[in-house]
Amino acid sequence: MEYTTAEFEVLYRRCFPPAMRMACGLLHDEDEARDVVHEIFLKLLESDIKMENPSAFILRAVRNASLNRINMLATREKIRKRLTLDAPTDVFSPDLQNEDVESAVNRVLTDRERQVVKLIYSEGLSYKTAADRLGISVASINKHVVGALKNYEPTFKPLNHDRRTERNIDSEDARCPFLFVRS
Amino acid sequence: MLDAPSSLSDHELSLIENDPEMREIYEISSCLSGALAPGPEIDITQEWERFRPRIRKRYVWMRWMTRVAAVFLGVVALSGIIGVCVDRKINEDTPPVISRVAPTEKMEQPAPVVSIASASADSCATSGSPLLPAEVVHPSRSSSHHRVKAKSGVKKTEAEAEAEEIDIDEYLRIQQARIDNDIAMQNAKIYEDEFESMIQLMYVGEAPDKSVICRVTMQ
Repeated sequence: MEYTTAEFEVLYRRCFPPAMRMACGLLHDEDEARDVVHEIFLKLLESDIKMENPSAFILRAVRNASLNRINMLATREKIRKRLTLDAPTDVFSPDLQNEDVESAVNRVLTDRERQVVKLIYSEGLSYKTAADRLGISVASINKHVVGALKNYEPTFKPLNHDRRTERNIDSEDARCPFLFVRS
Repeated sequence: MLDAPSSLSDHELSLIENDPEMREIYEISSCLSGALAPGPEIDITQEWERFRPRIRKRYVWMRWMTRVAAVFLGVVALSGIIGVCVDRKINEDTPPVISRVAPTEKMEQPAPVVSIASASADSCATSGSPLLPAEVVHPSRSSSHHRVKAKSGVKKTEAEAEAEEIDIDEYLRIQQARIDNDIAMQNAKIYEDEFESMIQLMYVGEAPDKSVICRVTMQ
């Protein structure tokens, strides 16, 4: 679809932040996420497809492009980057998903577990550093993390399988050739 | 696995992959890592300034190349169509030319043989009927080298070319025959006049024209 530069700038300013957050959430690398998002915007600019909801299209395309990049990596590389081994089955809004995860963490975990999880996952500290900060042993940190994951597990399954936000995303899939995850 | 995944051995990695429980724990950990990690700080103006040069280079170039390719293909297609139409028009208008005819061995036609038998002249004189114009004997049509028969079973284009050759041959032969016939007719008229003069001289007693006598007696 032919956009003027002004129109495209408006679209970019509106859609870039959620797309970037989604790509970062999947790829765990800001530079790589930015590269993926830029490619999708360029493809949108060059395509002749008219779409009523370009925002949904961009999110879907960014998600699939990110998963394609992950699939190309070896397992060791995936685990090193803490990337998912299983592709998510549904489309989700990254902001909505993050809110759900945070609310579930606050709801199902104990205070200590919540504290440990935030140090390990939010701040990205190592077990040793987190242990030093909390004044407990590394083994305790490990115990709390495993406990948090087990407590979170029942909440995790429904989130992964039932999440669906914008229903018109499926109608965009049929038309866009680069929306699909390559297996 | 959760603290230092890069330090895992191949065996441990295969355990994570193949054991459903360990795999699920890893997936939950990955999900938490993605959801709880601080999001990137996005300065949208800076991001747009970073992205805009990529539009100009790639978008403008692609659009220009697309238009050039479309124009080029249009010109090529139009040229092809015009060429086909002109070729058809030329083929329709051009009459069969001699140069397109396969050369024959002998193009000249033998002169028609005009036979005036003396016996026939006497018989005509007694009957009183005027001598009929000399019979013009057309050249034998059996001369095969002048006739090119269209062969059956030949490709359509070759048959059409040969049919054109036959027509031209025939046409030339007919024209030549007409010319020869005209000449023969005139000669016959001359001979008829001379004969009548001679008859008049012999039976009527009028003195014929001397020139006529010379011509008849060939003196």
